[in-house]
Amino acid sequence: MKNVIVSVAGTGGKQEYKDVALLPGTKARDVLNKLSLTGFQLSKPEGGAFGHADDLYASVAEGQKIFATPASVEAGQ
Amino acid sequence: MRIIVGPAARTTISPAILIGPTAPVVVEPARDAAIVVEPQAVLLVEAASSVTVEAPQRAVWDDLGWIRRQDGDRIVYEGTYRARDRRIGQRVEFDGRIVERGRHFQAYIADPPPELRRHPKAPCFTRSNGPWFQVHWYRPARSADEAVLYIEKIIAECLTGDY
Repeated sequence: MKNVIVSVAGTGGKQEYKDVALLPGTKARDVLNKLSLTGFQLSKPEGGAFGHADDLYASVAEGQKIFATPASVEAGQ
Repeated sequence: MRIIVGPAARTTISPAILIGPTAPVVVEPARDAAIVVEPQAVLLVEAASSVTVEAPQRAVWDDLGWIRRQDGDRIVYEGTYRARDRRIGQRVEFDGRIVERGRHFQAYIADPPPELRRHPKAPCFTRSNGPWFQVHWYRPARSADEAVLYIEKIIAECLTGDY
């Protein structure tokens, strides 16, 4: 089991889920669903974003903070 | 016949050598001041009381090491966008700037990776001033946090070719 912190973008740190416990095999979408973060995506610690089906457990370290940000943000012209 | 054995001639024996103790030797403590070894002031070592430090609430830009400053009627965030270049196995960074004016967040990146030219969102990054490229929004970021994380996602996609 790994414990991580999920911090929601744009909330100034006020919406932060501490001690989110991940079991092996936990995917990014599992965390978002559990935290009711519909329409969000999780950012990787080193930059970039997790795909919803990515193995989150394997990609994070114990105690790491990861960020949830709206997936709707998009560049365009 | 009786045989008598005796000295052949008169023999003189020198006085005996008497070996005995000399004058008794008395060993007593030196009359110098004795060296006294004793502990100095008592030193007490005890465990320090534990201190718990909890990180305060922080915005994402703050957590990522960006700084914020007021510039007239604007708020400017400055920092670096991070990504991992798996080809070289190292983290790469690009200078970034977010200008907040009202509810609008204008994002800039300096000298973006050349791989950006092949990304579908390349037309949305236009050269602004010097090394700076401005990001044009379709669905705008509503905070500096969202802007930083989105641009980092694009950079990561450029470097992996996964888009």
